[in-house]
Amino acid sequence: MKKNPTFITAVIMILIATLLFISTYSIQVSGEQGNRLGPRFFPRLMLGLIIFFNLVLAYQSYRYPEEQKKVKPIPKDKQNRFIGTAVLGVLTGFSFNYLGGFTAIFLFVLLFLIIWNQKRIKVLVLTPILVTAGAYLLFHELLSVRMPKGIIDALFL
Amino acid sequence: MLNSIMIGLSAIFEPMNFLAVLAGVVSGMTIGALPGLSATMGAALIVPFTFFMEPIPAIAMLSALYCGATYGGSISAILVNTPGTPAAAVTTLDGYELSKQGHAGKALGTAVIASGLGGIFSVVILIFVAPQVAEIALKFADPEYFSLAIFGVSMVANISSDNELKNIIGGMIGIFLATVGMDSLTGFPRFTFGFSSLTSGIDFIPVMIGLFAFAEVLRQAQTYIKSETNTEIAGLLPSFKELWPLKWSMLRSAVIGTFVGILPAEGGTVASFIGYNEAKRWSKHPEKFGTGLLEGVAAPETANNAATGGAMVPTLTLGIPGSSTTAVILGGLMIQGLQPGPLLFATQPKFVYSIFVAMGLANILFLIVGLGGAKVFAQVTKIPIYILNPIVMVLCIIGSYSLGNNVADVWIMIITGLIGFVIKKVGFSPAPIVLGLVLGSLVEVSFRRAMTIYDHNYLIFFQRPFSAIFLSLALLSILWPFITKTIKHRRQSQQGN
Repeated sequence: MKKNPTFITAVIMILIATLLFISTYSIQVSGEQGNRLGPRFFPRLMLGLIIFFNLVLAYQSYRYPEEQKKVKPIPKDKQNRFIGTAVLGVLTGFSFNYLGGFTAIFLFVLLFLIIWNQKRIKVLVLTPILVTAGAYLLFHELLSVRMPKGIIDALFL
Repeated sequence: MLNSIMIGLSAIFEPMNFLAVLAGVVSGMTIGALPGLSATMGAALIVPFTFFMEPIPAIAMLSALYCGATYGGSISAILVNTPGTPAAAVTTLDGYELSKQGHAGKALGTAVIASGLGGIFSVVILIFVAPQVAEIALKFADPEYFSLAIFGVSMVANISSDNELKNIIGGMIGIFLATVGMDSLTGFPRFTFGFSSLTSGIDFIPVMIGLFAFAEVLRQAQTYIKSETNTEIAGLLPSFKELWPLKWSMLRSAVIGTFVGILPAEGGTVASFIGYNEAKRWSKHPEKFGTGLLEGVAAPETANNAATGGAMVPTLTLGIPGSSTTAVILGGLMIQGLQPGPLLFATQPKFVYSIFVAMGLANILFLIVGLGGAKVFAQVTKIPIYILNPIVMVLCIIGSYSLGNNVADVWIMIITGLIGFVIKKVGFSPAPIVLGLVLGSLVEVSFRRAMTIYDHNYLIFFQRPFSAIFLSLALLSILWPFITKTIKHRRQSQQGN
């Protein structure tokens, strides 16, 4: 059988929905409500429907694979940039609290430009400084958003 | 009504509110002109700024951005053959041809005039229709709200995607995500898995930013190719003599666009395609469409901007978004502590009419700005993507964080962005998930309350006329794509035989 991304996605969704369905048993309920329309009812209904429709989708994609959307693989020359951008997003999430909001943003912009193959020194230096300064003026000064200070921002702010 | 319009006018012409509309129009046109940044993404990125504003300027800015971005999409469609927004995709057919023939000025002029007229037409309809709909909706109780929300979610089956079933699943996932956090009726936590930040539920703003903005940056990371763009505007603006023959086509498109916009979950993209097809069908020279006809620019541009006013009808009167962008605007309304729906008309008439006036003003403003500053906005398309994307990402991160000064929201944005990228690759559209998430709590709460009030009588949803109508329409809209597909398959097999 050829790779069928829709089928695989449907199966993964069924598995996740089943696990979540099982976890509904841990939702607290009070008295009679639990048996009828308590807090468990609606999530179960939705998860049941998600499982049902995914079963239909899995069957449909298995039976008529030619009708499914063809997933284009990421071109080899773009793979590093794509993975780099995704990893950078996750790393920014981590560094946001530990290093400080503005430091994380500065590093994010700098690394983003490097990942996106930017080689001009002027762009590499000026863009992170200007974007971080702009974000500071707009959010910190004008809109009073208090970003996490972390270990580095705390030295300046 | 005239009195309410006057109140709205006086409110919008207060300096701060006027500035908010102008800022919305200019940022909307800029976002729209940039390929890859859609009106929905722009609105999602701007929403965090509205936390710090009063309700009228906040929603006026978002509505103005919606109008401006819908027009802005035509700038890059005409100049660089790349639609700035999906709603401008069909404008490339004749717009870019005109540009290649040295008539970019004419094409841009026609697009801005058609967009402005379409938008103004739909705002007039909005002003007259919305209060009537709201008056009817005042009679709605929980069963009607449940059925209406189901109808709203069911319309997602028709949102563009390669598979209607995937849209339905997306809508269900959205509704399920809305159940995460404290149960609003009993106060018991659900699916928090020990994370205290999930107790208040999953906010739709970081989800929207993740699905529409971060996922798009990731998509561009794997598709972006450096290209030279020609943004020179050649030729003069269209003359009155050239525009006058387009009047019927524009009027037809304005009606189509407004009607399509009113339908929940349909939007400018569908409207522009229908507007273009109808203009071609009614034309004496349909074969000339696609070769550089002004009518081929005017029809879709009138329709997609007319859809903006239409889409605000269900959003404001029923609390059911008319498009993915109005789903974001709905989120903006909720952040301001306003509950969209018929009561909004009764309790906040000044606010409602200010928004109507703001949308009318936005259409006039982008007409002026568009005609006067086309050359400036054409330069926007030259901003390199490697500069634009980090700025978008910084807005994504700070925008999500500023919602509640909570890093957990940044994580929700990042995770939904990654998931959004993957599911889009396999043919799921992010819009149904957002729609489901926005309407999820309305669906659950109205259902459970109706069951409690009507003693668990499930038939109540079919016994009340409006509720029965909405549920029938919901069933029809879910089945419609499958019915049309079956008919198409049968016809094809009959032709094959």
